[in-house]
Amino acid sequence: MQGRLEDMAVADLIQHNCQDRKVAKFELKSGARKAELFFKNGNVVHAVLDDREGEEAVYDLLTWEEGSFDSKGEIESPQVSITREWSSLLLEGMRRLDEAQQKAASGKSLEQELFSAVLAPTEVKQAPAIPVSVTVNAEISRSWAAGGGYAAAVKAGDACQSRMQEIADEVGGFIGAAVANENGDVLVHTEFAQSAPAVFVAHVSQFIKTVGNVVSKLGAGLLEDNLLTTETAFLLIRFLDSSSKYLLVVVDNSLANLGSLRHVSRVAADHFAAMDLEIPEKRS
Amino acid sequence: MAKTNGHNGHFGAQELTKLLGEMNTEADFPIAVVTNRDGLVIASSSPSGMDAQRQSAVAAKVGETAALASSQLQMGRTDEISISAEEGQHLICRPIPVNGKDLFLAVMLKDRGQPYRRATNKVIAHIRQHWAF
Repeated sequence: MQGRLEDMAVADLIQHNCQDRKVAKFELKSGARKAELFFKNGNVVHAVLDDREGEEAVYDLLTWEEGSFDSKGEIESPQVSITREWSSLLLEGMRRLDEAQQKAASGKSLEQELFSAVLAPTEVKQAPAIPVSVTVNAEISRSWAAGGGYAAAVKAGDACQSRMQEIADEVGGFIGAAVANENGDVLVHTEFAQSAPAVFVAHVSQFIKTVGNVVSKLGAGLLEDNLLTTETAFLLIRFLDSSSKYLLVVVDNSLANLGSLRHVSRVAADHFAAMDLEIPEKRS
Repeated sequence: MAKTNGHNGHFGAQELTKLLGEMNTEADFPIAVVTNRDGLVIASSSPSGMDAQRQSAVAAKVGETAALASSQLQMGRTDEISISAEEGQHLICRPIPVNGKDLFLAVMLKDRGQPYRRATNKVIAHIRQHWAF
């Protein structure tokens, strides 16, 4: 596998290879700079860029917008310098990139800002955590408990909570999020700042049905995502493994970073897709 | 392909078609259409030969539904609808408020990372400037 970073961003390259879960070594070049990335067991385990290695090398690498990458095959890493899960690694990288871009407007170059973020982490201002309250559809909770016991249901609920919390923490301007199905049933939701989750989901489901119909008439396959931009908000709708369920994230468009929104929702959608979120009566 | 739609001034459908053509060349869009709420093609340009009637119908339907959803959710006017399908199609639909009614500008992108805001803003500004009364 080889290609240009103009066609496949470093973040996408990492996500693709981690989801493939293969052992792999990649060499990346941008101008005179060279980097190496090693993958194993669905994570980045080692990265080298100039004289840096580990997470900091990945964060720097995420700023590359041009260059090339080349797979060197199934080569084991000589060491493990990264233990953080790949999605968390990318989210931290995106957060730093976002902050650096905002600060760059103050006159320093993006690279200067990134270096200062790397060298002086105490100066990096973390976005304040917004505690979100997550509710799982009662039928689904009961189904989890019936299938694997109370502890399993709590664990699954906690997984939903942490995934929604991650969205709220990462995107900025968080208003609310929900996982729903094509019938408009709310499966998992946070509180919404402006309205009841069911109201959001009802209107969005109707919108999706219409869009789905027209996309189908275009012969363009299944919908991947929709972004509805209004005067005040971004409503990102990302489909899970099929078009029967979707993740809706609503954010204040004056505060949110669209790149982070797209990335974090993609990661969250993958997690929700792997969960059992079927309402029992609707199982086939 | 271009039809007039009751606008005034010297900026007619022919000029709009020319403007869409220039935008497609500059921004490398395979198709651009301006449609009204009923899906009637007001102007279109498609260097790739795509079906403007179908694109127009899609844009009007999606735009109307999005406007309804935005209004019911009390989130202000719709500024843009972006739709990505698995087959790699990316459709951008932007409402253009003119004289209290919405027209829609829809463009197809070749890939998701392709810039489109500046190019579409320019056409929207042109339409609003010349067609408002």
